[in-house]
Amino acid sequence: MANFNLEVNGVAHTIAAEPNMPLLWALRDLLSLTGTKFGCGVGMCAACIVLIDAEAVRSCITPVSAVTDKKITTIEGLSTDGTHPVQQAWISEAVSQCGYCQPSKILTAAALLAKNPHPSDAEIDAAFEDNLCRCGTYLRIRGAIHRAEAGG
Amino acid sequence: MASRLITRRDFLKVSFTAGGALLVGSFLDACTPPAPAITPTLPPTATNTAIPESPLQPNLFIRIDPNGTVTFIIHRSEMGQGVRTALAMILAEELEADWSRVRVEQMDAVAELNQITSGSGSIAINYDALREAGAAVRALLVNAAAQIWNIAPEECKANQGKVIHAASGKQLDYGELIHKAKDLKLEDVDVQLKDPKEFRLIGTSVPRIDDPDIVTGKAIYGLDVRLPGMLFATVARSPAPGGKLVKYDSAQAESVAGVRRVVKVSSGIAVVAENTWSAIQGRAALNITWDEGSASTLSTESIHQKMVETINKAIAKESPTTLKTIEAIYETPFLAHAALETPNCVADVRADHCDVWVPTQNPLDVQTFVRNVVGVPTNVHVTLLGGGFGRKLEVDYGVEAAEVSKAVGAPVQVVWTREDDIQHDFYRQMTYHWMKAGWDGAGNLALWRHYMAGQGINGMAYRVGKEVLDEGLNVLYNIPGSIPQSFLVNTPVPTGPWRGVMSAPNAFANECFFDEVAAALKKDPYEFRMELLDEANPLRAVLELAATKANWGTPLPEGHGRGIASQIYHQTMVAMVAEASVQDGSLKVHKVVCALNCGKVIHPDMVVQQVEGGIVFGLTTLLNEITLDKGRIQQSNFHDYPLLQMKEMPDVEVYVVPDERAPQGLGEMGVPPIVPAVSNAIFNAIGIRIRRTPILAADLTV
Repeated sequence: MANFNLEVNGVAHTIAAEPNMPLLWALRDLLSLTGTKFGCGVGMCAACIVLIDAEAVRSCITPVSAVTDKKITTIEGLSTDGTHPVQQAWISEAVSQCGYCQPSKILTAAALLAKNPHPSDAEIDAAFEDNLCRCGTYLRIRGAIHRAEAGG
Repeated sequence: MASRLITRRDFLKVSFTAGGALLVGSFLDACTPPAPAITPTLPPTATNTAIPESPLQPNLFIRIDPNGTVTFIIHRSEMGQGVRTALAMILAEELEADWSRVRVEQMDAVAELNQITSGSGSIAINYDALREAGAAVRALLVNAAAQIWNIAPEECKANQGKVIHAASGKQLDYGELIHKAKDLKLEDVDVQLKDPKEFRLIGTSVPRIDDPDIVTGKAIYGLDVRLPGMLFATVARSPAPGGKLVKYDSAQAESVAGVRRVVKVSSGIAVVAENTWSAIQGRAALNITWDEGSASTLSTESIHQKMVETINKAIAKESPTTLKTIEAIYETPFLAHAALETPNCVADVRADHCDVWVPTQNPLDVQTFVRNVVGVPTNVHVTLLGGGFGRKLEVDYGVEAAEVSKAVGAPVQVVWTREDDIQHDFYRQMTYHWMKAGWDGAGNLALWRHYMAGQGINGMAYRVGKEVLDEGLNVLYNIPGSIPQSFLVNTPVPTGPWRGVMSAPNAFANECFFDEVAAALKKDPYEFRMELLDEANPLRAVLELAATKANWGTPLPEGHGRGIASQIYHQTMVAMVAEASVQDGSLKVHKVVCALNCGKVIHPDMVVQQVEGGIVFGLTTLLNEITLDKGRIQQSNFHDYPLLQMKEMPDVEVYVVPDERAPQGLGEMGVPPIVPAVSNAIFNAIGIRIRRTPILAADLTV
């Protein structure tokens, strides 16, 4: 057990954890930031995506010891009030069904658009490799990304 | 309907809350039957008891605050099908509420209420009762305004959260009317349902009520419940059904950092820790030895063999025929639900009561089973579900949490890993179908056999016998000499309802084999279906719409094929045309056109969402299967139980045949036709028949 300093959504936290504890459980169980979801624990479904220095990263396979000097953004920190263009596009396109995996989809989309403001469908599909939605909202995710890139 | 309201004088219970809001309690019939075919087996205290005469406890609540906010307390579980929005729309429509001031809260388990969210039934079952309740409260508010203004209620009209007197221009907000409304009696007011032509909310695609919370991460699923002092637990369960615990190393597990306790529960050994990660690490250190007993001989092959023997005995009794015949075998495997949110539950067991927070489709059974374990009054609080698909009808994970909390004397969240979920599911049943068709010299069909073997549903709370196998077993078309028969082949493999239940495998067998017969008779598969449906059959319009919108019969790109399939389930008729191609042994589904008739549509875009979701659910069955060897499930996570990915998603178009009959089921309707439609498209493209799912690369190579 050791102390780790994490900067999450612009707020500095010090947590006591095993070095190999995945960031997912540190966020959810130690900091009660439950918007980041558990799906598989092995990096195959992407329900646990967070942004680390603007990269979409699977927090279930990222140990806390590896992110102490990084800026971590979870869905709770993407915007304070749900007004990020991707969040707005998600509502306009009625993407969500159960909604459980959508925070990770929104963060994946935000990271993609930050790097590639006008992705093709194929580029979107590539960014969403092994990024699973059991409700089947895939067509609407593509639609919402195109809506967000067009300014909502 | 209005007369019924007047005869039931205790239809509404009107009161004030401590906060000064009007609380209207009304009644959803406990005796309203659940959707047909799946009849859950419930303890006699639960939902299948007849509604008592009196006194009744209200089980539907509408709260109107002084500021005019209208809150509905919704009794069905939200798992992505949009039920919290759709049921609220029905109530708000008749109440003439201002939708921007409508809120929804989730109801706890309430005895004597049909609270099970299953069988695509939430809207179909509750539509009339919700309309009546909304209309009755609207009538109270209109009469309250009329009394304040000292005019006849007929001169007043409810409009978007206000009552308006057009002649004078006066208006009062609902929030200003609640004190007066409380003193009115339902029998003194005239309650009229709206003419559906006046609907302004039903039939529109308003944003879902939960969307703002979902996109900001504020939505609370079961796994997100956090209580002060809450501990986290994982449970080690027998790898084979019915296995017994021989020994384990609790000291080793308790030496893992963060682990607090190791406790025995009925399903296995629980490791209780300060966080989920420690609970997972602690469990890995248990070093358990199991005695798997007789189940260790169970395998997919042995179950398959039993089904083959059962069907072959039935075939042996068939009389010889002079007809020209063809036969085929269709098969489907066990399947896991694999909702993205794994099973989980928080229980807080105290000396005199117990609270449970759980993502469940079945709050009453959770309450009954947990109460039996803890022996004290139990409140069940239903969270949002991160997908359900039938898995969350079961109570096993709720019972585990209650046992662990009771043992350690603290609130505990039991978390299932993905491996737990895949290996300890209540699976869709493996099925085996023998199909035979015969025709005379003129090509007239005169014989159809569909002999199907599978097991019943054998869950802890949810059990269905042979009748579950009969869902969708009948061929939809007029074929003389049609004999559908199902044969129960039970095994210890735990089974449960899985979105589309047995309607899906039966549609696969029927609709693909019909395609085989059409090909043998050199008939167009769409035209042949229409030929064998009566002029008055409403399925015709559904098939015709799907075929027309898919440009059936027009040329396709080289290597592409089209397939059509249909099913009727929960009184909804659905047809799909799929376009697919195969290259180098790899299947690509390009487009799916769906037409359906689900009666009155509440929220048109939710119809599309449910079809898109059903198509994804069905297409996933082309990719994966659950198999057993030596009693153990061989799959464990998404590397060997893959789900459909975005890049594999076809374009989807959905068309609705307008029909003003009462709303019917939708949640499962996208699943049954997609697999046969794609399989038939594969045949159309490359001449290969798909008779078993999943489809393996070798199946697609000539």
